[in-house]
Amino acid sequence: MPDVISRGVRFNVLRMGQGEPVVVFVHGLPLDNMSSYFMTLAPELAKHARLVLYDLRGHGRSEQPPTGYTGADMAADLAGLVDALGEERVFVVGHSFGGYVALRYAADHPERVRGLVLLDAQSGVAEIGERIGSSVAMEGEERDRRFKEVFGNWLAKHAARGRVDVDDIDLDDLDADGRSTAEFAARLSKRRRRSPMIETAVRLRDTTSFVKDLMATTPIDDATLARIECPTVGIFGEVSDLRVDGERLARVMPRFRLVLVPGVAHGILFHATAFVRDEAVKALKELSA
Amino acid sequence: MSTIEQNKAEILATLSEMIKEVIGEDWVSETPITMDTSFVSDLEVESIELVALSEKIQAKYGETVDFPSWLSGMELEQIIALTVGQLVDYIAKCQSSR
Repeated sequence: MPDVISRGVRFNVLRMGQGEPVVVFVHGLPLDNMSSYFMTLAPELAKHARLVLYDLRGHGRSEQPPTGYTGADMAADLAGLVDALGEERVFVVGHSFGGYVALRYAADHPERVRGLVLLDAQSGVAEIGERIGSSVAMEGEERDRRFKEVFGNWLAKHAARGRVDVDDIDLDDLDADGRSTAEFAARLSKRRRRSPMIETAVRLRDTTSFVKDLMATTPIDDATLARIECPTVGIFGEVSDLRVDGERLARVMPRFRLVLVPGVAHGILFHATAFVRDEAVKALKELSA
Repeated sequence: MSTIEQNKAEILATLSEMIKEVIGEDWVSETPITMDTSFVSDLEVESIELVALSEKIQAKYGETVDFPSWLSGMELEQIIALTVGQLVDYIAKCQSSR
C-alpha cells in the first residue's frame, strides 16, 4: 500500500488480512523493522484479523527525519498513523521497545486501544533510554562490551570496521540469542553488498537525534501503568533480562496476564516463534471476546 | 517447450526484474538470475527486502499467491537455503490450482 503520513513523516506501511479486529504491530530498536513480524507472526494472525505493519521513523523503509525519536514521539507517530488510516479502535502488538511505544500510546489514547499484546516489552524499569542510548553512543571496547550485553555482539564491530568481525567472538560465551546473532553476523561478514539494515541503523545513530532522544526517554511510571485499563497479555522470555518488566506490569496493570516462554531470553520472536504465534492468536481471541 | 515450462520461464523473468528493482545494485543487475540463484547466499537479500518483494508479487499475481504464508511455513534454515526456482515453482503451482 502507499506510504502513510503521520506528523509530517512518511511511514512505510504494509496491510495484511481482512475484517475485524484491527491489529497494529510496533517493532523494536534499533536494528529492527516490520519484517520481524512479517517473517514470524503476521501471516498466521492475518487469518484472524486485519493487520497493519509499519516501520518506525528512521527504520526500515520509513523516512529518517533528523529529530523526534523519544518514546513519546514514537507513540505520537502511532497515534497519527491510526488516525490517518481511519481506524477507530485497534489492538497493538509491541515487541521490545515497541512495547514501550504501545504502552505509551494506550496511556495517552485509552479510547483508541482495545487491548495490548506485549512481547518481551520494555516499560522503563531499567531506565530504557539510558540503557539503549548509552550503548549506541559508546565507542571502542566499552561499546563492544555494552552491545554484547544488549544486542549480542556485532553491530558495534560492524559499525566500527565496516565489517562484522566474528572470529574473535567466543561462541561458548554467548547465550542462545547471542549465538544466533553471531551466526547471523558470520553470514553478514561474507557479504559483497552493504547491508541496508546496518546502514540504516548507523545513519540513524550518526546523523539524527536518535541517541540523545532515547536517553531522554523517561520510564513509564506505576501511576500511569495503573491507569491503562485495556486487557493486556504480556509474553516474556523466562530467562530474559526484561522478565522483571513483565512481572512489574503484572503487579501494576489492572488487567494484565503474564505468559512466560520457557527457557528463552529476549529473542522470543525468533527463538520460540511457534509458541509466541500460538499465544498471540490465543491472546487476540481472548482480548476480542 | 511445454506450456508449464514456458509459464515458469515467464515467472522467472518477471521475478528477476522484481528482485533487481528491490535490490537496486549494479552488480545484481548485471548478474543473470536463474532457478538456482539463492536469495541469501547469492543475492544477500535481507528480510525487509523480502517484504518489498512480497508486495511486488502481490501487486502482480494478486491473492492467488500467498508469499508471506508460504515463507512463514519454513524454518530459518530453509529460508536461508531458499532459491529463486523454489519461488517460481510455488507461484506456478498456485496458478495451476486456481
